[in-house]
Amino acid sequence: MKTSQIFLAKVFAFTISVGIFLSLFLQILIAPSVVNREWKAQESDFNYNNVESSLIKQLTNTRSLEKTLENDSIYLVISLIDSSVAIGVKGVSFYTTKIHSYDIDPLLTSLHASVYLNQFQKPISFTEIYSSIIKEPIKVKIAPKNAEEAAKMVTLPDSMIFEPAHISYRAANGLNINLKGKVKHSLLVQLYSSLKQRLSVSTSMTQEMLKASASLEPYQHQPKIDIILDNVDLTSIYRALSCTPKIVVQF
Amino acid sequence: MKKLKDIGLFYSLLFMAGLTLLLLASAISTSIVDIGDKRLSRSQSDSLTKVIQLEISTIKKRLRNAQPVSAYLVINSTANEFYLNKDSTTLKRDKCSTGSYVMLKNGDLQQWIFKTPKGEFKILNKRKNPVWKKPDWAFVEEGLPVPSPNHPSRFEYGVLGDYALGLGDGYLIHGTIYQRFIGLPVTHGCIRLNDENLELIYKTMPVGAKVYLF
Repeated sequence: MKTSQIFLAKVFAFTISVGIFLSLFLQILIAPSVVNREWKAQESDFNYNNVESSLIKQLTNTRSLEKTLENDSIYLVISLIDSSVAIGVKGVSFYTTKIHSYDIDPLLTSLHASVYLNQFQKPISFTEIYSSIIKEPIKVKIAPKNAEEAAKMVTLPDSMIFEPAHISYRAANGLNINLKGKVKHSLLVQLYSSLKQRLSVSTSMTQEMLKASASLEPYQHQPKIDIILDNVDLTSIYRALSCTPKIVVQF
Repeated sequence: MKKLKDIGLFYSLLFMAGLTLLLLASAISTSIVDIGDKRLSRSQSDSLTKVIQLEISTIKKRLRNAQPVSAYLVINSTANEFYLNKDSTTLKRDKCSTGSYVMLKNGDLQQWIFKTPKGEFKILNKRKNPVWKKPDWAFVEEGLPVPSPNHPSRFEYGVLGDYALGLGDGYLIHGTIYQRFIGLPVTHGCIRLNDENLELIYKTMPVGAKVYLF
């Protein structure tokens, strides 16, 4: 191969690669704005512009709590405002626990108040739920045939040791809420796992985006909230909620 | 060979540059949102502010009215703990025992799951020196034949402690002679307390008081 041909091939490959990267770059860049526009377009019932955004947020939060008055089954209230997670029924929050730490997508914190109102003025229903916790730790026991057999039967109670677990909720509007158990590690291990988590987030985002590009579909940004809770509270909350829980989110 | 190395280096650098670009995009993209909207006039926005404030205060009043007026009990069946609350104060927090999640199977036709229900309940009745009328499963579990509904062998005295508070559907808050198991999930769905806590709850909670089980 001649040197000029190699040079041309390099230029061609370079142009194609830069083109691909640039298109992906633009997709990522506009993806949050697309989410924002979609969220804004949904049930915009009133023009709340020019009203103080803190007041609109307060209105959103009280409206979403008002909706819980109708909820017969147990629901979850995540309030990043006072760093707490509570469960309640019919408007009464009967158990509250403190959030150890949380991480919120910058898109959510930069939402315009009217979009916040549109999306969070009522409890959110989740379409996909994944958890590493067993919902009901049922142990099957076959009835003994007589008193002697019954005396020999020993059923050990469920373990009261709660390992770090995680729950992922995904809403129809693309919002992801991840509740994780607190892991007790040294500072160095914590720093390492934090870096690892950040890297895995970036990697998964890039992977999703590449997958979307391969299937010729636009990349969709999925805003998420990561919350760290005490392990016992995490299991208690998961088991308290129904299989299709409603969640009030305030931030 | 040198050419191959050059090409490898070139593509590695290109890939790294591309990846950096993508990560950079993901970092800055989420802070860009569209906020363009129509504006209201000053007087319109003032009157809207008043409407919003009124709505907030009305909702807050509704929410306040939904709060329990008397003392209420919260049972955490995962941690096997109870919280006796009044208003926003916890009067007592201690261990209790709740359902074991055992599924008792008697052939193909009968089965029971011993779990504590979840949700909002009320104290429907209160009894002193309660007598336990053993249900069918208690005999099946012991490998004994099930007697007729009112057979004397169904009635046991003293096993439920000094008091019992009924929640409906046979679920009770009661005491136990097996105090060492308090704090473990060992019951058939009822809530077991030690003598001291049972007395406190019996005396603090009136009939109609709310009980939240989760």
